[in-house]
Amino acid sequence: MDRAPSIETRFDSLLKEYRSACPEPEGSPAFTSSLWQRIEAQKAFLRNARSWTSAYVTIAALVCLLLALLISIQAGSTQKTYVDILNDNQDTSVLIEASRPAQESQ
Amino acid sequence: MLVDSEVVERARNGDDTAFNELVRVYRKRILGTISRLIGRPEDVEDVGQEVFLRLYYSMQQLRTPDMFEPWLYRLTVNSAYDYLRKRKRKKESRISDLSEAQVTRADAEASGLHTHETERKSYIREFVQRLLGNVSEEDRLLLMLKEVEGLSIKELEQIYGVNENALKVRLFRARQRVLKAFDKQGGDEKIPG
Repeated sequence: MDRAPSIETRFDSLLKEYRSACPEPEGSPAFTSSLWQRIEAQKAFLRNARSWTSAYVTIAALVCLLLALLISIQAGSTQKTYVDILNDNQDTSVLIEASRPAQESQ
Repeated sequence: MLVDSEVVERARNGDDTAFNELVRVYRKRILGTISRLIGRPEDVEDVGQEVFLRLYYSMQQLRTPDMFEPWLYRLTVNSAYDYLRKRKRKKESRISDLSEAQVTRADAEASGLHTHETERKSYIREFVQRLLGNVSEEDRLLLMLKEVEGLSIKELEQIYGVNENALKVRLFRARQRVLKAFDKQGGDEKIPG
């Protein structure tokens, strides 16, 4: 029973010793200047990332527009129904040609 | 608080001079805390810069200037936590590294400054860090903030955003685990007198 408080006390004094064993650094004279260098480097990185992102978004939007245009052009040419296409095809010679062997056999 | 809330407010609105003032005033305190949290003097400045870098980019998230100090402590704890996790990963991949005590001794011998006191301090640092290796990084930092930094439960509540009872339970368990390891290693008998 006596051991527990004793180890607790020793542990507490060890932590006190640890506190004084750790140095209290002031930081080097270049601390603030190198901090600002890191801040500026991060800012530059963010600026770059932002410009790359906006360039990527612009290119993607242009590609989308181009694709939409192509699709609408293609859709315009295939908008007619099957019957419309048959009606448009005034040249009946192909059909006559195709039906000729049948007539000859009769 | 070490600065006027007006300085915090100005820094929050993007005033770089006010931010520099915050760095100047809090630098020593934050570096001291980091030094005790991570126990590696050579990496303190780097982690300290990381804290202020995070502060710079998160100032606008600060709701009121009154919350500045807990906010800064939270950033300090997070940066120390990230550092400890990285170090743990590095240690796992480089088992053949020299211990801190060995490095300190080698450095001191090389520079002719080898003293008994330096060796003792470095031994204590390493011994405590090893003891704290028995709990998770989160609990280790919590224990440090309470037992070594001397923060109150109220302050810890503000930093962690967790209620008092949960903190007390976590602290108690962490302390018991470290004490058990301390007892197993024969207490502080191995520390050079």
